[in-house]
Amino acid sequence: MSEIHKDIDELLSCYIDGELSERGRTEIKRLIRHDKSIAGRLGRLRKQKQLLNCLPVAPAPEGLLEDIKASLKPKPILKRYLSDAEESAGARHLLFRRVLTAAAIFILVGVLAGVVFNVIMPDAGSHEPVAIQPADSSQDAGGAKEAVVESTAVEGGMTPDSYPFHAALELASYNSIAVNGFIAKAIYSNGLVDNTIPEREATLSTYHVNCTTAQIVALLADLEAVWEKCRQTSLTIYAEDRDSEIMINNITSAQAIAVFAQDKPDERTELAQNYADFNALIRDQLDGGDFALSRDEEQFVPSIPIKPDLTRPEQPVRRDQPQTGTSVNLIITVTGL
Amino acid sequence: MQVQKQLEKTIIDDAILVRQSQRGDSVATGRLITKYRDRIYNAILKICANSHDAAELTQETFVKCIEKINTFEGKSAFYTWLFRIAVNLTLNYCKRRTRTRAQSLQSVVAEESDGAAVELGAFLADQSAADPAVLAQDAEIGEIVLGALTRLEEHHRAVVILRDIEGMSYSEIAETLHIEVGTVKSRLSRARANLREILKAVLYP
Repeated sequence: MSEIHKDIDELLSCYIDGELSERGRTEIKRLIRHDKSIAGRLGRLRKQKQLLNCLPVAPAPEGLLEDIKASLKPKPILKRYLSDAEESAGARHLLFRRVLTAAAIFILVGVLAGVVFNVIMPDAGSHEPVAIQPADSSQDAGGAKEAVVESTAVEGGMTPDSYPFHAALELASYNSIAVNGFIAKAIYSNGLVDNTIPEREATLSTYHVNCTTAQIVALLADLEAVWEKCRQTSLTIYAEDRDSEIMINNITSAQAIAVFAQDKPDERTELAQNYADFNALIRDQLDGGDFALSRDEEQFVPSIPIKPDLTRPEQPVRRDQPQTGTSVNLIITVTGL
Repeated sequence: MQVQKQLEKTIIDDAILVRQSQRGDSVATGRLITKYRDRIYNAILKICANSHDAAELTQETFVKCIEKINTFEGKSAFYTWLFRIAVNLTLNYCKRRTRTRAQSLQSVVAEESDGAAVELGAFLADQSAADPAVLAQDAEIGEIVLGALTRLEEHHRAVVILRDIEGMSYSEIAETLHIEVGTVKSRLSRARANLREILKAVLYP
């Protein structure tokens, strides 16, 4: 009986849901007509279904969509990967910042060192580089005090700036200590200590003298004895009118004084050129073995000017003496042989 | 015929939205969620009878749906597939809560007024011609009916909800729950009988 009721209930359930075949529906209709209890069960079943179907519908909670989107964010494994990536990226950034900081410190130290160097170092703006004439091996065979003269014209050499007359006197000696002593004494006795910047290296001493031509003449007069201790001498002057350099090799003390005694640039240049040519001629004669000069050549030899009173050793130039003449920048270089 | 056309239109619309969602179209995904969120939430709510749990399970259902949207091949309707996820999640969840709910139902019914119980009893006994829609809007009656639903076995509860509340056909229920149509028939019949007995026991103690 129970099984029959179950089967009827299932048929009734399918009937109210419209899931029965045509034949099943016909059978149920026939049962309902003949059995009031089955009709009652069908009615109760239908009411129950209607009640459930009419239950109120509650709206989904607000923000459900946002919550779902939030839940769809990367999984922990991805987060861990991202975290590792961020850490490595952070390490790279840190290294980059450290390198940048180190570079900035180096630059700062460099700038500060430059500033300190400029503060503590003397002004070397007038220190012109001086070209030393290389030693000529033929002079060793020729004996002492041979006049070897060479004239060189270098385009675009020394450039005048603060002083109109630039010259370089190069002295090469086996007794450079004595030569330097003479020069230092002469600078002192001529009151040119404040006008001179001395520089010393192992075998090279340089004196940058900025003064007038008259003071240079006096200084050179005091240095006459120095020539006897030198194997090689040369004087290079900057010829303003020609915009070139004239080098007088194996220049004598008298020739040097004569050049600096000239007030006019063109006369000074002409005299320097004459001395350069003359000394070169003498050297050529010595090299050729015929030192005897012809009469014409003797006439060509320029006269050595008389040593001016100003340059006499017994009458040194004092600080209070008037400083006249053209301004000159003379670089005296003493090379030890 | 009208219902069948409406159903076909829904399936076609869903197929388009699902295809777009599978291509990564977040707007289409959003439209699918908006379209089904109320139905899914109500089905879950009626199964688990707790609004907070229902909200969480609804969210979990859609998250799982989006994560697996690319595995959906379109062999069944999308909403059938979606309901399968929701019902499975909810039934698994409710297995741990059934006893608690059954006990709470007793206390809820005990606190209800006699008037609601009598009215509901008369209606279910087919002795009243009251409008079921009006009756169901009564909060007390709704509480009794939902409480009775929760006392059903999980599988019975699911078929009743899918059929009587969601209006699914037997074949759709079979597809959703992965069971035979014959099983749906017998299970639904037993579920309705059990629900009737539960309500009778509650309304006529």
